[in-house]
Amino acid sequence: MDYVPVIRRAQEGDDRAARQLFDDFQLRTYRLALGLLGDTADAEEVAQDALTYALLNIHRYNPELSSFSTWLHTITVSRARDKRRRKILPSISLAQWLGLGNQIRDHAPGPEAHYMHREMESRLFLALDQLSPKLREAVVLRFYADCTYKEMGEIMGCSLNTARSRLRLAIEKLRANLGDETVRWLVTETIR
Amino acid sequence: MAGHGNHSLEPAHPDDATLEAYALELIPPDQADTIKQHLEGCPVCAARLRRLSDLHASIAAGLHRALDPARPKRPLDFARVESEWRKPPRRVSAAARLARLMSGILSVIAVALFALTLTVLALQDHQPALSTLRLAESYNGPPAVVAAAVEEGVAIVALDAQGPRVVRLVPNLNPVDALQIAPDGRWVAFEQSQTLHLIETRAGGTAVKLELGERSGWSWAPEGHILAYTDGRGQLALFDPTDQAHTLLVPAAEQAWGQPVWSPAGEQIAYATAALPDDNPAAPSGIWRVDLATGYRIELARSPAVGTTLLAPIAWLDGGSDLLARSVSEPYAPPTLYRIDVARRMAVTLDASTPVQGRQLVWPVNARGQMLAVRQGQVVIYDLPREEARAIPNRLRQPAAAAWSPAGTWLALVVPGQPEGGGLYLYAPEQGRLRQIQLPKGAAEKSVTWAGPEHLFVTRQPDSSAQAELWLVSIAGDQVPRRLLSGIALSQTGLPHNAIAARVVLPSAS
Repeated sequence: MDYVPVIRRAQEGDDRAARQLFDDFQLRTYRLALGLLGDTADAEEVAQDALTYALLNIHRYNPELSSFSTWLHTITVSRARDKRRRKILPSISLAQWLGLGNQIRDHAPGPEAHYMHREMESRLFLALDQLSPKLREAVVLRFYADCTYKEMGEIMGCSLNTARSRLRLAIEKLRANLGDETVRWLVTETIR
Repeated sequence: MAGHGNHSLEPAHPDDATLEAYALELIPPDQADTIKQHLEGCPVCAARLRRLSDLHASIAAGLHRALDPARPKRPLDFARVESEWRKPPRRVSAAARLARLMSGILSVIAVALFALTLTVLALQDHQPALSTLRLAESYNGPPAVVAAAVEEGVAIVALDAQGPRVVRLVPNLNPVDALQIAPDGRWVAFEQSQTLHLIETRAGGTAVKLELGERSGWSWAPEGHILAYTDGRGQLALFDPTDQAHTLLVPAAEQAWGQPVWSPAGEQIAYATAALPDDNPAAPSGIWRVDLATGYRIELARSPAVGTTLLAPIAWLDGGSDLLARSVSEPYAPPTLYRIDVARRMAVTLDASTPVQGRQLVWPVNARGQMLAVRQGQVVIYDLPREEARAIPNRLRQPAAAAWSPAGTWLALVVPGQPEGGGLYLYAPEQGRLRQIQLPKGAAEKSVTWAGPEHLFVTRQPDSSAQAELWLVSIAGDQVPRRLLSGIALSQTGLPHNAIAARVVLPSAS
């Protein structure tokens, strides 16, 4: 969907346009925050804070400089950094959340395979938890938000080359953190 | 780029690192073409590339599988945007504002006259105009300084016999966090993103900024004046905002992090150390103290599990002979409390836990070493020097906020889930006396601070409001509770549970 007209209306003061942006972007903002922080309560706070800030400051957004998504991602990443830095008690980590059997697409037929699936995904998120915040940002922005390196640089506030090297380092660390067995399993499951 | 092949591959085969970079589109186009040509003729390397790319795809797939179905427990709340939306400066674009300003000469003249009038008024009483903050007309509590997040920035309010008045407005500083007033009342400190702002509380005073990194922390010396801080890059230093002078205490190589904790007399500082995850996660970490007179640094305790659990100091006990510390785990686990014998450098695990919010204990420790804690599932008053626990009345379970009186004999508590006006309690642990202080209905109690030995400052939030109020409550009951400030901008401070937009202390409280 082309959000430019909606954004323009919101910039002119149309609260229905602001409401539409809020509704349309709340889930993706929450999910990005959850990917960055791995904690449901923290992610809710960060997503609420980022969306509120973005809409109340929408007159500062310039569509010629970046897409609205990139601008909102930048605010979300910044808020997530603040949140992580002041680390308030998390209620539940994403790895735990996965382990508790919340909604995960079930594409494995039997209960054992299903259990294995969750176990391996929990390991993936435990490995993500072990990355430094900036490396985790690189992984989530590239592999979840499908950002280009240029967008990653804008969002993370670094050069394009730094964004590239962060992702490369993140992959190396993830591979080491996951271990050969989990890497083999993840690869097999993905290409199955 | 075409490195030496590993194992039995020919030297011309690109190595794994080069293939990985190719898969991640990190290789310059001309070199990428060479690799592409090689891959077209080399099934072995093509298979290696698929294996490497498959991991990237599986990470992406794993993230999507986990995150795509995720939803917040409750839909995010548009009301916070809506309540601010109608206020002109935010929603009107610069172009629209410019158009309105240029709409006629009369309006320009009117604006100029209005500005002139404001300037004259400001010169007369130095009171900045604020759109939302409302002040009571008089004040009969002890002299105090208040810092409050408001629509326009951060307002500094003096409370004394002349009545509440705004003495300074620091504009355009929202959202702010960790708002604090120095013990001597001379400085307000708060964070905005990774910048620590220090603002003198008098009109026209100095404003100083410190740029801090992640894992940084700061705290005021007991008598005020100076600040200890870790800079997020491993250094621990003192900062005198008056002279703007830094004194290095711990070099970056020793990796100090988090909030430093001053001893009661201000002669030593406890601090945590830990290697950065990207540097050397297996390096030992622990708690140290630095003597400010000599600069000597002594290790007090090692973290229990290298790489996953760190120790962080919380408070000095018994005038400095013991130190209370807690564990910090990543991924998160409930904190374990430790008492460290400073002279013997021994840490003992305490059979209790206590909630932590950010760097602060939700339930602080008093000067006698007493604190609220959860022990065997019950909320107790835990006497740390004696290691004794005393149960508190059942209805005070899990207070949302607590504050000890200056003498440490009374505990003011905010108990959640009570009817409006009924959330404030006073508890005297020695006598087991419990007293409810009834406030007017219309707002819920959120936090409490002592304002000298006889008064409390209570932050309250009216129902469905994105703003907070500050009330003065006499514990003797000889004065009716009074609303001092209203219109403190909660929405601009960000987090919904962060009901305390203002921290209030007396200039002479410490």
